[in-house]
Amino acid sequence: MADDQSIGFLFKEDDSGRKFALLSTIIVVGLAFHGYMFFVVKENDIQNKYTIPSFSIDFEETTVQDSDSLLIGNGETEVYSFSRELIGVNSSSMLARITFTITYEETSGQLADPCDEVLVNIPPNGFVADWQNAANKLSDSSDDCETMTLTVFVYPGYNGEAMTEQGQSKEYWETMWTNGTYGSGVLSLEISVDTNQPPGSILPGANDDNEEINVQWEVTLFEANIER
Amino acid sequence: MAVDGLLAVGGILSLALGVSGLILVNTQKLEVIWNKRFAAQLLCWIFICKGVSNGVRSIGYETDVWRIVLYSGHFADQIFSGLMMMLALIFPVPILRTKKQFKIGISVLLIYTIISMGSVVFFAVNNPLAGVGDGYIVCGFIWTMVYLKFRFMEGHEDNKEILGVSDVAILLIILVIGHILFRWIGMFTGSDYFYFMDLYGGNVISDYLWSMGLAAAVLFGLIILVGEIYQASKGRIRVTSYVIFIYMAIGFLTHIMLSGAKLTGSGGGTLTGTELDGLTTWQSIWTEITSSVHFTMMRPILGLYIFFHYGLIRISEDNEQVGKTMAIVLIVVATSALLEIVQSLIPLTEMLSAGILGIAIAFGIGWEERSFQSLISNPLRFPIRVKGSYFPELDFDRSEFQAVNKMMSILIGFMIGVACVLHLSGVNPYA
Repeated sequence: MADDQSIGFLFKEDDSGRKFALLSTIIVVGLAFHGYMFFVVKENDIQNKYTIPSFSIDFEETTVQDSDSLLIGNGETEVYSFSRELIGVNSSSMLARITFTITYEETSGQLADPCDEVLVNIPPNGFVADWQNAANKLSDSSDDCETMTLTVFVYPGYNGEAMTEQGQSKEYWETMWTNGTYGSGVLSLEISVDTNQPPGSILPGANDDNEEINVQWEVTLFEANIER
Repeated sequence: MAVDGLLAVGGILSLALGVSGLILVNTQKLEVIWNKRFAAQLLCWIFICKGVSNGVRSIGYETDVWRIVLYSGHFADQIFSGLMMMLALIFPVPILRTKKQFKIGISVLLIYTIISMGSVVFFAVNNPLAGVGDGYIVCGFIWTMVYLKFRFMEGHEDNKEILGVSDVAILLIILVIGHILFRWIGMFTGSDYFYFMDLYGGNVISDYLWSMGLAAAVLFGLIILVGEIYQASKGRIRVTSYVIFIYMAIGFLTHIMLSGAKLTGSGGGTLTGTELDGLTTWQSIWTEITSSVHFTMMRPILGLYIFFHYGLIRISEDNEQVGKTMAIVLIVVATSALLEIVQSLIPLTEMLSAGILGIAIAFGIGWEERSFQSLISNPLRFPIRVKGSYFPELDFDRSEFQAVNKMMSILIGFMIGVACVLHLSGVNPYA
């Protein structure tokens, strides 16, 4: 057999091909089993793998609001602190946006006393929010007792409208819309007052030394419903 | 995740082994029989291809050059598969028994590899012709056949040279499909972790052919397991028996860890990490310390052992220093890879990890000093005197050996060039 140059030498030498037959039989039976598992038992799972899943996402919105007032002296700046704990809602609700409405009127009681100058500002730090959102309004000022409104968008990408997303898993999209990091920290609303003195301020007791500022906040919260 | 770092380390290990192995093969002075000489060259190029494949994939797909990553990784795997099949045809027992058969074999596999690569270029990466699972079937079948022949050869149950052939067949099977053996139970239980393993997605036939290759790998592993259990019952247990026992036992543990996993990944390709979608942190870590470690680290270490212990590369005074350097590089890189895994499990400070790395490398190099000499000094001979008919004598010129190196250099260069062209053309790999 030493001069046997056929490529089947290994398979038939010594045992007339019995081991080759045994190995071939085991492989054929084993691969038939695998084919049955792949095309019959696992058919649905395999097909689902090729189907890109579609998820409908809608949002349930609620709002919470409250107000407070601060007496701020001439030339001073007070900080009004806002945090999630102040609202007292459960952890499943995500913060969408916060709107501050700042109002005041001339309260000195002096004759012909003009409105004071009030500057409001929210520094973009200390609180996790969508600070890059172009719709944010983070500062304003008034010297005619006009109402000022500031808005901070907290959850990136949220606009309240239902959407349909393709691919990924339900868990992925749930994680996407339940990120409690947004809205954590302390949001600071800085309010500065510069009083305008009445015409008779040279008279004793006629000074305008401070102003009462009313701060009303409204928080929009949402919970996402995700269905495949 | 540490998987990317591990892939990079695996790439470096494979490249280092492949390149330094080629240097040793080309500079060795001692006589080596033709099939071992060609096997050494092919194994070196196999590791170079794996090095390229693991190296580019470690970059990840979140990059502007993701097409280069995808295509060059896929092409490298296709060449790897073709080389593995060629290796199985000549080593440890030559199926191709004449020079004419050898040349036809090389030509057929070269054409097959080029057609396979062409189908990726002109159709899609997930078309049935582009699959690489067929390599597992061809190699596994031949090496399992060799194992059965030589492990159960009547009258030679205690012949070291005969058993050495079956040992190297087992080691080659483990080298190629060891990471699949970690998931063998999943094939029978219909688990996602097996049936969704490394699928590209998008083409059911292509995915079936790939999965069929994995299933065949499991069957070859099981046949060897049963064979070794039988031999152990007869008191003829060997070191390689323990290796297969350990790999299959890890398969049990993997089933316990991953059986409940519902994988959601779709698309991606081999070892991109997409198959990990849906796994918990602990399940991902388990996958890393089993499959990924085999895939990136055990392969080069097994390759090093096969090179020296079975005399594919003969070390003499002329090339001993290169051989030692090669072993030290592998040990150092493998040690740092192990530390990378430990760091993914236990957060360590940089100072502590540097200290542990230093101690581990010192131990590693100490081990190398003691065992390198015994590894190279007494390479196992094949049973040419007892069963010479299995090992036909063929004469090859040095230029014929060099022709393989030139062909492989051109093929890998061509592959990288095509990947760059496909990147520049902005083609969709899945359409």
